[in-house]
Amino acid sequence: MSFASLIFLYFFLPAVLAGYYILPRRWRNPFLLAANLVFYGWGEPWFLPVILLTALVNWLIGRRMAACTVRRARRRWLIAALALDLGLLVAFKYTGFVLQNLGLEGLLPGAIPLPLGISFYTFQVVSYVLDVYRHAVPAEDSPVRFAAYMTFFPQLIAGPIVRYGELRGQLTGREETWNKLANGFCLLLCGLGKKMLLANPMGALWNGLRALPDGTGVLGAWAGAAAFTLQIYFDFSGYSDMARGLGRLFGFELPVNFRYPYAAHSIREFWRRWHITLSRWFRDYVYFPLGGSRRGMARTVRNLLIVWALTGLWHGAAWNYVLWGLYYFVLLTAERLLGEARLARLPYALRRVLTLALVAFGWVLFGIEDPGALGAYIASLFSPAGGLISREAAVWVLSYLPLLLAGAVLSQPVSVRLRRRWGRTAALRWGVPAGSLALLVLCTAALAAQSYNPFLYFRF
Amino acid sequence: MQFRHPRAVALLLAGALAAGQAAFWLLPRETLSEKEKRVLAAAPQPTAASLADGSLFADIDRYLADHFPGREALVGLNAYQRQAEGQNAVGEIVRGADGWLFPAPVSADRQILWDNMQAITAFAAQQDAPVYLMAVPSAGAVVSDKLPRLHLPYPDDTLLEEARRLAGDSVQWVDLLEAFREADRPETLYYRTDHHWTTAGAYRAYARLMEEKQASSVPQEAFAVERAPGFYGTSYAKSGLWLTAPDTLELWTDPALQATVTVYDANREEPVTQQGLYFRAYLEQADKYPVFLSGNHARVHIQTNADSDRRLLVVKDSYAHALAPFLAEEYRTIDLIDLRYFKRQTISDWLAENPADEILFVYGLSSLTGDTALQWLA
Repeated sequence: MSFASLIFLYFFLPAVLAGYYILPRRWRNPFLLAANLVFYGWGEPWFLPVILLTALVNWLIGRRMAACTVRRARRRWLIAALALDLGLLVAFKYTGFVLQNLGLEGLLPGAIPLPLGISFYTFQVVSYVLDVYRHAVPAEDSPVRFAAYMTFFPQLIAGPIVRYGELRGQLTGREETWNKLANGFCLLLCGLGKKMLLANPMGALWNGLRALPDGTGVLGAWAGAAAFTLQIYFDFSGYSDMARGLGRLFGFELPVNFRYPYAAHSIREFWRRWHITLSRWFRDYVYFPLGGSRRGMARTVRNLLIVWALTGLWHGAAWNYVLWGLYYFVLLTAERLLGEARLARLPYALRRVLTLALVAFGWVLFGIEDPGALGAYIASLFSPAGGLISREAAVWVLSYLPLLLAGAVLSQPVSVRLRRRWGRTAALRWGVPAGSLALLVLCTAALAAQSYNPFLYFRF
Repeated sequence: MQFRHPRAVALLLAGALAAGQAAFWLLPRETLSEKEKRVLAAAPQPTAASLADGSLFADIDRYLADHFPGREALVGLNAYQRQAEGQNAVGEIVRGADGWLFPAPVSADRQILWDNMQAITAFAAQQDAPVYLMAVPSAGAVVSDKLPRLHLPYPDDTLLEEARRLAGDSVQWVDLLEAFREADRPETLYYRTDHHWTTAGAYRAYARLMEEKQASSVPQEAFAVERAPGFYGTSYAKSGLWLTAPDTLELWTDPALQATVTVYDANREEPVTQQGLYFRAYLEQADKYPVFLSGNHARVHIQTNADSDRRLLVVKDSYAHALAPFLAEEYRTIDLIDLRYFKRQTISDWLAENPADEILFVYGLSSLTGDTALQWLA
């Protein structure tokens, strides 16, 4: 089920909220688990066995590891869990890609369907078994609580990737308050607004520009890149806001996933602000175990290469994602070699603009899977052959210019400043709920008027 | 943030969601939307098959979107919001000045145009009767001064020129674009809220056809004009811009002409016959356009008292419906065949049994460049 759907907002959510708050506390976790499964099974019920099996096996292995004091036996359990979790991920997500590159795609009868959210929940259970193995957290005793954690519907399909340690206390002793509920609704609707009112139109602009038969011209191509840059940010951060808002409705506090990444003044800072829970996962479970940056420059560069190749692959089973990951490997290595002190000598505004342009170019690599189309688009970004902007592209860009500008402003931390300045006034206290209600109406209108709008990150 | 009245805020927003659902269950369901001119989604049927292939879930989504309380108002709100954001020129409907809702430019993809012209010329080459082709330009190419300043180009000039070139010698091309643009008031030739030409537009096309045939046409003054206000067309239905003013339909009648219309459909045993060329009962309905020949049918047969014994075959889309009353002035017998619905035999086979003295193709440019039914000609 998608958050951006009428059935979720008006049917599933009110029903789950009502059931949750009517039930006594000890029934709330089991009820949430049931709700998670309905949410997950809606649309593609045939993947329920896969996710349930993953939950059950990882719970059992966690308990076995906790009960076992022999290091080698614990290690065997760990390897078994990793083999199963990563094996399923690789089997579902990368089999087609691998066979295609070996020239063996004939072996498959058709495309292998990808279970919804498998990239996200796999990383979540892998973090759990690794943390249990490292004694960072105790193993969960209750299979219901464990499954409720692993399949928690607000963040099941597209993150944030939550560690068990972060939710453990909340699973047993969370407090639901009116203030959390009010904040939860407002955050949910803010995220929905980002998705429906900004990300979707920006996606329409990006697709419209890419479909122009006679090309866009240099300016049109960069406008397209800007549109996709804004689309992916509002799509994904909107989803994360909705997830955090939904978590609060049930008394949970989920980690922040985005902190205004387009306000970064270096690539390194961008990655500290973009999809924070994923970067954290790779840092803690890949980069640090490999030695991080503590064993000299050569090892550091090797580790970065591994992390970024994997980050690229995690986003999708196609070469453009690998290319996109390696692009960041190159940029981050270059930043490291130049050193922060030398970069800081550049004017601040220049660093901001340069960072944004590099990120936007990165999104072009990310956004076009077909190598031929990707090459053509990159050429149009730099070649003056297509002119400055074609007439068709100008019509598209000017039609969406107000939204492009609004998106550019809203992707910067203006609201933080506004809140700091006006947060204690009555205008904002009533403005936020009134604005949330207005967003609900506009988003409902957009949902009723259009029938199909998947989140970008559902593909991963 | 810390709300001072968190309970009020939470209950307000939760209440809005609950109210939406309650209204869905309590309000009566419509089966069709008059404004959007379409049948709304039917209630989903849960079966093992629809569950297995996931179509059940898609059906439920569609059903909810179609029957959500206040749907028409919400669609309108969304449409006006997009206008306010500046997207008046990039949708399916381009909003121009003075309440003009233009269909977006036809796709510049020429493959279907090539296929269709190939089918028409191959067919025409085998006929002894003269074959005429009337390709109707889109409103945006004619009424260009009502277009918004910022709009995608209408490629009608090049596409029509291409079609004319492909038509070659076997087909007599009836050029409308120039004639329409040179009209005193081109904006009277198309509806503001519909993709069709008006009766005045159809009359002008008829006059052009007669010119092409080097024959005289019945003067405009011979017709009594009857006006039916309150017509909302297809562009209006697609646009969601519900505050747009309606069009007025005009029915032009020659008092001296008598005609009997018989409508044949593939899925109806008995043909329907009526006296007179206009189906006035439709003027009382929400969708008024079928006042012309009662809408789309496989074949419509018209028998007239025209001062001629000639027989005409019209192969057409819906643009021909408003043209038929003028053609009826010139032919004793007219058959209009719509290839999207006429599937029992090919036109060639039908002609072998019902020879025609002249053959006229009437198609909107959007059909010529987008509709593949013309392949059923031969």
